[in-house]
Amino acid sequence: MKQLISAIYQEKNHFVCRQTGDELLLIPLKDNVADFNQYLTLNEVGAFIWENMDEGDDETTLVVKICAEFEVNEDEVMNDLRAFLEKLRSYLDIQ
Amino acid sequence: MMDQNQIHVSIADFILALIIPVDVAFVLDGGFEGYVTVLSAQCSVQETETERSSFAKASADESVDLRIYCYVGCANAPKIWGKELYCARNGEHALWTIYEADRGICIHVNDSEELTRLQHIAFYQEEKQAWTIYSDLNENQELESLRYPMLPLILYYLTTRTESLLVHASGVFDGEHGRIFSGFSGVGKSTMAGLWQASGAEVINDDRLMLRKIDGHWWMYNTPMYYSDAPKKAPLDFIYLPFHYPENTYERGNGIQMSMRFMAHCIQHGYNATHVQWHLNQLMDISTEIPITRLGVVPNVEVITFIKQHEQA
Repeated sequence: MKQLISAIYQEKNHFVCRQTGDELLLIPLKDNVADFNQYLTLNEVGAFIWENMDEGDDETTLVVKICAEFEVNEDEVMNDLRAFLEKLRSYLDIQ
Repeated sequence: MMDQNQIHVSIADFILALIIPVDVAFVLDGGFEGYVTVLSAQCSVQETETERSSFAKASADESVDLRIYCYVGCANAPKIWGKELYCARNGEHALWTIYEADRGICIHVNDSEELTRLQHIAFYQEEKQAWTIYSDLNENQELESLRYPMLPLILYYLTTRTESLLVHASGVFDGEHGRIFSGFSGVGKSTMAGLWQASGAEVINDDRLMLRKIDGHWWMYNTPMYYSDAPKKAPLDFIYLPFHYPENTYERGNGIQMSMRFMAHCIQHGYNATHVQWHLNQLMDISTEIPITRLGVVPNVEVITFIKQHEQA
């Protein structure tokens, strides 16, 4: 999972972001052109993870960050985090 | 500012012949203002006193949106560009290629009808809003410094630092409301413009528009086309995303999904995330102020009544 987090972190430079209300809008840049048909929106927690993810993070460090920001149960967060990261894997086409 | 001797610039009617005096003040399509300075054929290295004076005058007027300096001869362009940043292609051939350059970019633009022929070498200094364009003379010994796609590229770069968007859309004004119909080829942009024109509305343009926010309100302007046209502008009140459908349908929304659908029709020649971010900010502004509606269209005059009824609902 740490490799996946690192791979997602590397992809962050290929997106332009814009906060819209509670959501974070991500626009992918492909060949340096924005692809507005492939946008992604993240809710408040997803946006927090995206913006606070560091290259050396693993699941545990991300859970700690999330729990420090939101009043949530660690076990529940871990399951949701894994599901979220897998969705990002699919969206970003990370092997 | 520049209310005398202004000229309107469009692709078809603004061929910069060498007989045009230097330092021509102009209004560019989209309502932008600036100076075009045309230099003589032999002056690219050793400028005359008049030309130096002309440069000084254009450079000194800080109220203008841009300055364009036109030189003869692509071969006279200084070879000061760096690595390639972006290439717009048509199949195997480049339409234009953007390179790094000192305090800006350099664009090599090919002839759109003969893509192996270099048409312009242009330098853009964003901070000074200045273009320096080198072009070879055409067969009539005229200097077409703004020949397609140069002028649309200049317009595009204006949208990267002003509150504006360049968009594939037709626009009409019925004397009360301005409406645009945005989409790719075949969705009915021209058809809608034609239907509104037949009902008495003015067509601002039927293919491409410049949208600008001025004094807190969004406006639409026509842009240079292959034919001559007068500069036109109208207030922007409604944005429609039409598509052909067996019946007229009306789906209004200002959420992200609708905004992105509209943004997909905005013109981008991006090589730069900063420009994309800027355009995204403009899009979010326009989508909070102007209703965006998906419009299923049966292309006959009844759709006009249908639209007006739903706008009032």
